[in-house]
Amino acid sequence: MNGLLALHKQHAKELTSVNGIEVPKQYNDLDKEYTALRHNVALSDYSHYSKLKIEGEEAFDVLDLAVAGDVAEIRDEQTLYTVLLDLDGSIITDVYVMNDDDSYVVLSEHLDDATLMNLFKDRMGEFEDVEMTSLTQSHAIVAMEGPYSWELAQEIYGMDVIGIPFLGFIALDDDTYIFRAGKHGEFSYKVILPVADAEALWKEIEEKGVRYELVKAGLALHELTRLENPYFSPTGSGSVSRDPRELQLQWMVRYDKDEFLGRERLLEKRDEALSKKIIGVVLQQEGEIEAICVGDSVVCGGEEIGKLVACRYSPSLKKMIAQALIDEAYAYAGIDAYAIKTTDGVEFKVNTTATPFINNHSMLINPNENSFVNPDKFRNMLEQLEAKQAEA
Amino acid sequence: MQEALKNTIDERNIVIDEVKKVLIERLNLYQEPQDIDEDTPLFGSGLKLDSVDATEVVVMLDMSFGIKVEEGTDPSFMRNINQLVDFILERKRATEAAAAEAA
Amino acid sequence: MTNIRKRVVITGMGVLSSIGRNVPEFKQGLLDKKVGIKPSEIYSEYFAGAYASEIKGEVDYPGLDPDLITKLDKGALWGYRVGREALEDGGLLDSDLKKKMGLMVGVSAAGTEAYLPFIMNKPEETNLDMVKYSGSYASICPLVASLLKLGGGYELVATACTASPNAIGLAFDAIQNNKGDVMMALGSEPLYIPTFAGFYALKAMADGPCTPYSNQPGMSIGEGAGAVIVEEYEHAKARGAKIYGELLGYATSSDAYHETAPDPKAVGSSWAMRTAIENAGLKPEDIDYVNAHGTGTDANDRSETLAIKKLFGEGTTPPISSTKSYFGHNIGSAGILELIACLVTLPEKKILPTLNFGVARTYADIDYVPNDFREKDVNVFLKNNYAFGGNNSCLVVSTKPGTIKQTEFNPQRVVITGIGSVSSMGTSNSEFASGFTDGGAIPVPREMKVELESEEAKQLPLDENKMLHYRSHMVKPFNARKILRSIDAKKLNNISLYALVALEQALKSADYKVVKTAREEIGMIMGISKGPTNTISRLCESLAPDPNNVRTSEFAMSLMNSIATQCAIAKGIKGYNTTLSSGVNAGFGAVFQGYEVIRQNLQDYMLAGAADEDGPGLAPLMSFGNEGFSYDDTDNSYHVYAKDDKGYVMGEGAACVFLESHDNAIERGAHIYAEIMGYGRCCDHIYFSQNSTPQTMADAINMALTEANLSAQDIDMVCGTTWAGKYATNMELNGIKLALGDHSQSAPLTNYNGYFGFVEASGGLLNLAGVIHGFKDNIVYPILNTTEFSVAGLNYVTANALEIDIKYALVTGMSEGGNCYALIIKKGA
Repeated sequence: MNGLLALHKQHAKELTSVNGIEVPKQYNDLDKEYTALRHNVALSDYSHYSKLKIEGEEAFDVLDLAVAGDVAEIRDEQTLYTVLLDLDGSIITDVYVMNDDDSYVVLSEHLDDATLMNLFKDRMGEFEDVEMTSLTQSHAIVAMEGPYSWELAQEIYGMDVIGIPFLGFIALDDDTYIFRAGKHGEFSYKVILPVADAEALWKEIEEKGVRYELVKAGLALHELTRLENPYFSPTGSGSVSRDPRELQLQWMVRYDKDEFLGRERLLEKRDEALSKKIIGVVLQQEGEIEAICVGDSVVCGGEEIGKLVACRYSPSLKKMIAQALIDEAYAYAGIDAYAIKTTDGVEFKVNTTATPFINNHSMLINPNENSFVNPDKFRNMLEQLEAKQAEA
Repeated sequence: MQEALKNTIDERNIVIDEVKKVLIERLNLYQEPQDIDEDTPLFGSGLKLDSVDATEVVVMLDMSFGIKVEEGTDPSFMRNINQLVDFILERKRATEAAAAEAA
Repeated sequence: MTNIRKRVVITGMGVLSSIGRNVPEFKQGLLDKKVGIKPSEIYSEYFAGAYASEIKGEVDYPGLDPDLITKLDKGALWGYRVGREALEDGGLLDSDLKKKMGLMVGVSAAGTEAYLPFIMNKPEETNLDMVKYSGSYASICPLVASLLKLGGGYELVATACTASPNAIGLAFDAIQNNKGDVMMALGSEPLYIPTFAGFYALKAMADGPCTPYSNQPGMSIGEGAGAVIVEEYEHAKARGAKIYGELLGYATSSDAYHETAPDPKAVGSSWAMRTAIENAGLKPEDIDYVNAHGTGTDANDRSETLAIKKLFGEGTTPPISSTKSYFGHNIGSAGILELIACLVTLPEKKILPTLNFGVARTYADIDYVPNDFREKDVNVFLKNNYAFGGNNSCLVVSTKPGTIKQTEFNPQRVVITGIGSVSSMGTSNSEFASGFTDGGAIPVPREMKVELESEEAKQLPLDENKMLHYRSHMVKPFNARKILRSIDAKKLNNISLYALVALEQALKSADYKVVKTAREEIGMIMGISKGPTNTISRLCESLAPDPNNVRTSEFAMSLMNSIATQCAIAKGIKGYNTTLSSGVNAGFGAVFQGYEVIRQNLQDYMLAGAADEDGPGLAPLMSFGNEGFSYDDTDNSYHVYAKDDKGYVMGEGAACVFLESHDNAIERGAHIYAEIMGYGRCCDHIYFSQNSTPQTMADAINMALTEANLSAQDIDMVCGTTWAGKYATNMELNGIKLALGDHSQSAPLTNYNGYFGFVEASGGLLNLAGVIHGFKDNIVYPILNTTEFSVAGLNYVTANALEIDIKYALVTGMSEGGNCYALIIKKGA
């Protein structure tokens, strides 16, 4: 057992095994973890991501054939967030493809190492100059996430961290990457590093994170955060549909790319009429309502127009939020004429809405201007603006 | 579908179509309108626009919808197509309300 | 063998700025802390709260015919004015030295004024004379050269905001290679609406005079011009010249990061400073002061501050200041004006302050010399400038000439180890080579509707539907992804795509891969003529009626430097980077400068290329009044050098060569296609006459022979590259005759334009590529179509390919402005 896992076993509330790798499911109270992620910094272990390094002259060609997005879009130290499709043009999983000087690192949290490896091996047939190495067991992922995670990451890794754009990364050496990407709308820095180094980093972050009011968090938290900021989720919306159009994930595929797995069916389906679509709904009334569950109907004038595929209480909005698969003709944001009908026949009025549901706190923070720990700086741009207006 | 709902959806559809059309034209996007979902993010991922494109979106709002975006406007209206459409419809309603009041 | 670098000093200066219309006035304006940035009358009409540093009212042009003044654009007139002041200041106005004086110009928005009436939808205001004289991007060069009678040849650096300091760098390199003892470098940038609209719409402008590093971020745009005489030190001393300062070295680099934004990690900008300091044989601690780019925008001020901290170390940064707080950002002429500002104040032991300095921004935590002059004895200082696309430039200058130890370098033999091209003959080296054996590509039929009522239009061979039929050599559609693979080709305009495909092939044939650990060891130079014409026209179309609606996404991509910077971004090339937009045959300038960089051992590898795209349809009409465009609608209408000249057939495409030192090539076992033995460049300074002066071409050839240490008899073949028309044809052919003498009757002479058309900037390099492909089998391909030649007494290769032993080849060419180029290459082993 590695040191980091031993540490979790000692301190975490609950562990879970994902893709055959043990990681913390919960460290603290969910509320506390949530507040840290949305307002300060949360520290998590995402070592369960399957990690694959693809190298060689034809690495690009293999990836180009395997993923539905355009790998040519990404240059060195950039990442493509895209999907793998099956022959039916349905999404198997989402993946990050990191371009490290024309070698690639692929990350997937929903497939285990062997499955991911085999998917790429299937596509390797005609290519010779490609080498694939699994980094899943050898590498851990330690993540600093939240509106001030950039500041903590900067303390550890220096000022260049601030320059990392969303979906960009810095390769510290052949083996360690600081990768800026999250699936919850807040700043997020995933450090991909050899397992042997993970425990020391975890401890350093914990220590340096104190003044950011850092909280250690587990995976369970993200069942909520990923509904507030919807991403591809095999257990949520992905359990009812794997169709990029129905999921509003067409941006993760490139119809104009010459060749990739699933393209033919994808293009056929693109021309078919769309019958249903996932949209966001939010209850008009405030408060947590336990009666509302997945599978409940969405009705309009008494008629069923769709069903809930995921729902939760959003602490940020103080309202119930949900994703619903709705008849296409009704699937528009900005409508207040629908209601959720629970199994007991009670109706709750909803508004359909654009997703993400929440305005993330990170959007108010400019790392070049604001600071959590420097009293000479404002904590966010709103405070900065107010101060400026007060001055005027 | 009720008349009022149908009208609301039609009104929204017109704005959605126009927004997609002008974004594609002005930003030289490769997509066809139907390839762009309404919840598609505009920046970072999704359409992958950058800060230069953001100025184009502002110009687009002025040219195609007569909306002037004041300095200091919360930029979250540009987060995705749906929010952009919400913003346009809100401004439209505000203008209509102001006009009604004036009359 | 080690060479000691020559000392290069500045011996004359001229300026035109809102704070002073000559050097003494300018100096006084600086000392008085005069802020020339005011509310703009012209631009307030379109843009709320417009501020600018402008040249207002009449400007006098001593020595110019008033009638001529009405025909020229301000860019050329201002260039003339500051150039003249610099010559006068340097005691050179009537000197014979001007005959061999080279001219290096830096501009950004050149060639705009003549077309403003079209852009703003007021065609009735068109000044046809201005279109004729000042209508091409590079016209400032032949105009200023002609008006001041400078004969040493010219180049036009078009790297936007780094253009003028980069032009000074070119002059420095030319002097190092004995291409002249005295050169002129100038920047001239009148402000026009596309530039104003672009920056305004990008929300880059400050509400009032800019306040670099403090208060509200934002830039102030400005206009002005500056010129310096750059001279070899001993030469200057010998003639008793006044010496203002010494140029110790310089460097340019590319961020290879983004079209508009600087790299937030400031890798490229700090590397440019570090390299410039190293090139000058110094260390960061030797630097007493930095005159910053300091535009006032957040993006610049932040990343420049970071670059300076990275270079000098936190807590040990020298004072830095931004002169843009006086007279705004003068774009193409910014660097040269700022350099002059330093050279008139630093010798008085005064460091220019950053004016308008209020509350420092959060990141601004170094010494910006706020508001007041600083008493300090500065010897060595840096002049930084940065541009869209990630062009970085840094000059290292001493205020006390002769006090810093000279540097040494091992002059390198420079070889071509990679080559690539895109043309109507295809997109690979093998297609290009087989195109020669197949007798060239067939130009495709084109047509356009002409609805003009002018006299010229009546001369056109229109059909009954007013359609004009003609031919052009077009690049056939190809699968860019197959060639470029991991590069996103869909985002590129045609000209950048062609450039990148040619570059990719050059890299491939050189068996070289740009790797992450060595991005700085390779640089690139691009030669451009009309540039990204389709993008430019989309940008211009968006300016009327309301220029607030300018297409910002086309703004950066319409700049001439966008092709080289796009290539640098796509391939991660971070070394020396510049764009020479000198017009027809600009590719020669790119190769010459690439050669200088390798020769001085400043980079390990250089790519030198050129690119052209077919324009938005007006090109056939733009040629009104020019002899030359062929309206013949047949397959074989292009008869180069013919007695019965039917004009040229346009082409598009790109070419690129990979350069490195001979030692390096041997060490890594690269195949050497050719070695560059020498080059020459001169100009005829008779822009207002259409009479050729073949002696100018002969001078260029002789210059190349001298450098190559060869005589005319050593030349085994000649490849000319001029396009058509009496002027160019006479100049090239009679120039060859003059230079080679009797040997011209026997040396085989060819010209490959008939194979792929007249490709403006790239033609010279496509011909060069043809010569190199011929080397393999010792073949000179024939001139296509022509049977009777306009100039007798030359050994034209016609009808069949000629097989001969080739060791040395001479490639010649000229620009539409009378710049003559000669290049001698030796066949590789």
